[in-house]
Amino acid sequence: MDILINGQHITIDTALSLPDLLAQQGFQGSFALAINGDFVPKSEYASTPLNEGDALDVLTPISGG
Amino acid sequence: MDKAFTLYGEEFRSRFLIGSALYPSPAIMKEAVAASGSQIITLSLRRQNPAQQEGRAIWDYIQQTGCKLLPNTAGCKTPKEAITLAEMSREIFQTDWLKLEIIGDDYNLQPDPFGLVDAARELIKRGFKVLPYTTDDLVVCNKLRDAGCEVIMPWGAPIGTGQGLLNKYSLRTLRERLPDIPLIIDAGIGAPSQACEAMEMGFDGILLNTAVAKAQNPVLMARAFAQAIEAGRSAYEAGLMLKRQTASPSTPTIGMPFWHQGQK
Repeated sequence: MDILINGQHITIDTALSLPDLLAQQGFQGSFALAINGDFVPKSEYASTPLNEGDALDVLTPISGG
Repeated sequence: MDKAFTLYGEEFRSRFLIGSALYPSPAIMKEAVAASGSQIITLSLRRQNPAQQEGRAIWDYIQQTGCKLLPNTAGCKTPKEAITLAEMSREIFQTDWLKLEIIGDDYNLQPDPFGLVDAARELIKRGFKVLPYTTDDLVVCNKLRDAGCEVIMPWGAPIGTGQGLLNKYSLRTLRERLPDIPLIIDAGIGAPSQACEAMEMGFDGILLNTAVAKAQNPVLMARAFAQAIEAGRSAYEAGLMLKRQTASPSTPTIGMPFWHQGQK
């Protein structure tokens, strides 16, 4: 199954869960997630299915004005 | 004495809100923030490769400042984008506070007033404490207040330009027509004198970033802005004298020697 993470195409096993995918990609600690432009709270990661073509945005803190 | 500076029910000693971007290094950022005396710092969220340690370092330094975090929605162009980013920020930073930015023009980063009001309304419904970055338009600011914003942040000039207070007529109008809501000049300030002038005009605070971060000595400039903002506030509370057209001697004229001696 092909998905996008932060604009990068990756192919994943269809059985891979969202929490496992995020861990596999090295995301830990302070980050927040949106799928297809919609915020997904941490409490819903385990119950959120991944679908072909999903675009994930995984954001982390950065300086700002 | 300085009256309390209260935003969304929280009291602050410093009227200087500072940004965390563009400094030569995270260490200089932290030192400049300390020199500024600021108690509120802006920051943001972006896509970053987890392997890169840079983002993590700046986040650590921002936390070490001890300031209240004010996440922004910089770069968002629609209410939908800003609302999603706001929800993500609230989860990470554990705060309802939000500097709401919706950009309507890429050239001068001018806020989109229509999107701003729509987004503010929705975010307030969702429990956010919204501090909107807006133009100096009175009608837009009225609508933001009516939407439930308890603080409004009009620009002095476009972000990063350092042009100062470009439209003093509009800014004075805002202050006069919105006397009871904290107004913070956000963006466009380039020199401490400009920040001081805004405070003399009765604005409640100043939010800036570039003027400090891009100074040759950011730490010293942070201190200079802190002093200017404090001086401007004291001057506003003291009440400026009225301007007059003709000269008026400050030294008493009674008892003047040689009075009229030179005249025939």
